[in-house]
Amino acid sequence: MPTDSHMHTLDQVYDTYADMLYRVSVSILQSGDDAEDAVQNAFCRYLEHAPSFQDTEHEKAWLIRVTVNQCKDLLRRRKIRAWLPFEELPEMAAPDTASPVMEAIAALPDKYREVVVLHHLEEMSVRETAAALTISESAVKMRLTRAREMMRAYLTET
Amino acid sequence: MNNRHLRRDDALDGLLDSAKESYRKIHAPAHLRAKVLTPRKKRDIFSLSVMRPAAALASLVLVVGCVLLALPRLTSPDAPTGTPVTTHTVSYSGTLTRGASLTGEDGFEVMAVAENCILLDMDFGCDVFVVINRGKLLLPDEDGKLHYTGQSGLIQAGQTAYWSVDPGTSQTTPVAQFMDFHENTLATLTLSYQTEEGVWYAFTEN
Repeated sequence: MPTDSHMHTLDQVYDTYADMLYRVSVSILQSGDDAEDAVQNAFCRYLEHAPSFQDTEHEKAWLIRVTVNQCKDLLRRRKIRAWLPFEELPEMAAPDTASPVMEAIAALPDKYREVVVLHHLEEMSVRETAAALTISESAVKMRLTRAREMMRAYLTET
Repeated sequence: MNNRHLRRDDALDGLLDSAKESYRKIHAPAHLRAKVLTPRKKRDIFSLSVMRPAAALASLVLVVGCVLLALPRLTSPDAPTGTPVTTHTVSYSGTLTRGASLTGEDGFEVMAVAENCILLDMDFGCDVFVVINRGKLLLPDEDGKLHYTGQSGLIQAGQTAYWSVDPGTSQTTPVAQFMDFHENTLATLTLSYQTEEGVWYAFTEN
C-alpha cells in the first residue's frame, strides 16, 4: 500500500511526465481513450512497484519504457480484435492530425511510428529510443531510415 | 537530435520540426490526473459496489443461458487458421446472489453481486472476471486483485476488454469481448474470451 509520501511523489511525477507520456501514447496508439489507459496503467505500475531511480533521467526512461510497453500491448490486442467477426466495433477516436506530416506519422506501421515519435517528436537520442523500445540502436536507425522513406512517399502521394 | 545516420532531407526535417509544435500542444486530459492519482478509488470499486444495496439487484432476475453449444473446440471460420474455439452458452435463472453457481461446462461462481454488477469467478485460465452491467469491466492484476483496470470507459457492443498480466513487461493477456451488450440489463450478454493458449470461449446470456 503506498504511503502518503509516496502518493505525494506520484503527484509530482504525474505533473512532470503525464503530458509527455500521453503525447507518446496518443501518437503511437492514435486513440485518446487508449492513450489514457496506457498512461494510467504506467502510473499504476509506478505506484505498485515504487521503483527507486538513480536520477530523473532514469525515472523518465523507466516511465517511457513502461508506457511504450503498454502501447504495444494495446496495439497487439487491437490486432487480435481486428480479425474478430464484428463489424460494429466502435471506432477509436484518433487524435487530430494537425499537419500532413502528422498524418504521415499516423499512417506508419506501428513499429516505425514508435521510433519516429520517440526520436523525432520527443527528441530522444537513438540510444534512449533503443532503450525505451528494448531494441538495438542499429534497429532504431534502420527503422528511422525506413520510416522516413515511407513518410516521404506518403507526403509525395498526398 | 542526432540525425547524422539519416539521409539528409531538409524538406522532411522541416516538416517534422513544424509537427513538433503541434505535437507539444497535446496535453493529457484533465480528468486523467484524478484517475491516476486516486487509483485506490478504482481499486475500491468492487468493495463499494458490493456494499451498495444489493436489494437493488435482488429484484433483478438474471437469466443466463446454460446450454453447452455445439462442439467443443469448434474452429471458428473467423478465427485464425488452427485456432481452436470452444463455444459455450451458459444459463442461469433466478436472483443472483453471492455464492450462486452458474453451471456451465467449466463452471463459474458468482462471487458477488451489486447494483449493475456481477463478479464471476471463472476457473479456466483466468482467475476472476468482473462484469459490470451498463458500464465498466474491471479486471484483476497478476495477483488476482481488483486493483487493475484494463479497460476504462463504457463497454460497448463489440468492444474488446482486456488486461495485461504484467502491464510493465508486455505480457499478455486474456481478452474478453462483449459481443452484445444491452444497457441496463444483463438479459442479453454475450462475451468471449481468449486464454493465452489461444482458445476462445463465448458465453451467451439469454
